[in-house]
Amino acid sequence: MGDVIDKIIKISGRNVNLCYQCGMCTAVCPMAEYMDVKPHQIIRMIQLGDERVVEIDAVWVCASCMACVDRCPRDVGPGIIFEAVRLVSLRKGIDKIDYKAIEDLEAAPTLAMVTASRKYTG
Amino acid sequence: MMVNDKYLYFPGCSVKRDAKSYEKTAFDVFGKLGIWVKELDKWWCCGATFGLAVDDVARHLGSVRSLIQAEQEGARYGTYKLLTLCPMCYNTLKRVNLLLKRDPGKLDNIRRYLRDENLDYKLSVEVVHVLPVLYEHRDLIRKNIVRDGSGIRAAPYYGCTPLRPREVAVDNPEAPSIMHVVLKSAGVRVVDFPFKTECCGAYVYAYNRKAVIGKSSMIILGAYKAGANVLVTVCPLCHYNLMLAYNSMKHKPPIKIIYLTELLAYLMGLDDNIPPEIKSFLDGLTPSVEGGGD
Repeated sequence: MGDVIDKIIKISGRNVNLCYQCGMCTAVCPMAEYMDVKPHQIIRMIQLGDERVVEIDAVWVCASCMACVDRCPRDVGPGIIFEAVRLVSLRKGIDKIDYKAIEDLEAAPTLAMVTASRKYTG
Repeated sequence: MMVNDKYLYFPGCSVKRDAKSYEKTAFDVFGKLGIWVKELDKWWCCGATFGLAVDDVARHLGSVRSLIQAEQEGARYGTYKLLTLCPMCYNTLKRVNLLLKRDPGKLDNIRRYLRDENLDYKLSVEVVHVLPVLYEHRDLIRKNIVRDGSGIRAAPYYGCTPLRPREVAVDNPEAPSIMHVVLKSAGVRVVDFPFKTECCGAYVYAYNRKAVIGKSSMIILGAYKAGANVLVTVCPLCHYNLMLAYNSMKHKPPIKIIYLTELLAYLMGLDDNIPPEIKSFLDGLTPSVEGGGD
């Protein structure tokens, strides 16, 4: 396995090889309809060692709602793995939001700002 | 005041700035129910979202500091139960607490950060969300209702953080009912709807606003189509996203998004801290005869 995949496994502490591609995560994901690659497909890419996984938009659309983590019959924890995928970029200093580009930033409550900063900046 | 229950209290950022009426009406309700609540002398940002990486212990430090503060004050006030209103604070503090209880290695690591400050955490704090507290005191709520809630059709919306992951859930995460019961005890008609545990989109508003408006609109319309005229939330971030969606709708359904404690305060006649616009909306749903109760 390449460095990126190793890093994802290490940061998440999860075992992607337990996944048998049942699709439960995608079925219960509230954001799946807005994702370019669906949750179970992302897990499959990691199983196959496909490093393009870090370029996927879907991991940034994940809201960490834990719907997939709670229901995964193999306890793979897809939502936890997606955080690791995000961190691979964030830890390189690649931020995913630009505060100046956020519409109505001044109207956003503190909680929205803090959560977004935690998830989209390194 | 008769004291029926005692809690230390962690406010967090939202209820002090953007959701003031949530906190103020909650305190009005607590006062009426004899729930004694002491805000921590000092508290730290919980982090709002629980850090999921296994190698990033430092992310939990803010929460740990507040837990230590609660432990120290707990000895003084005779309760180690730490109450939160914001479910994101609840979720984060509870998961950090659970992590330290289950993983001695992580606890050891955290202790190393804190040693120079002469701080230690002995795992004595229990993090509690307001929902089960209100549920426990539902009979007292029923006794203190002074307004007729029969015209209010309330859809309880739980969202994610009070329910997931399941090890921190305040109720059955697949079919929660405690908010239903609290509302029923308060005398309103409860409207169950399919999206009561669906995510509003949370922090994704900053990255993909369309997705958040889509999710939140679905929740609002789901509640409205099920027959609700009030959508009840316990989360400041859900509230923000739902309002964002509501304000973006071309045809706005006649349904109001309000905090649970605002509704309870209204039904208990505790009007001082209910936003005027919400008060007048609820007045419109309430038969004019006031007083009575049990």
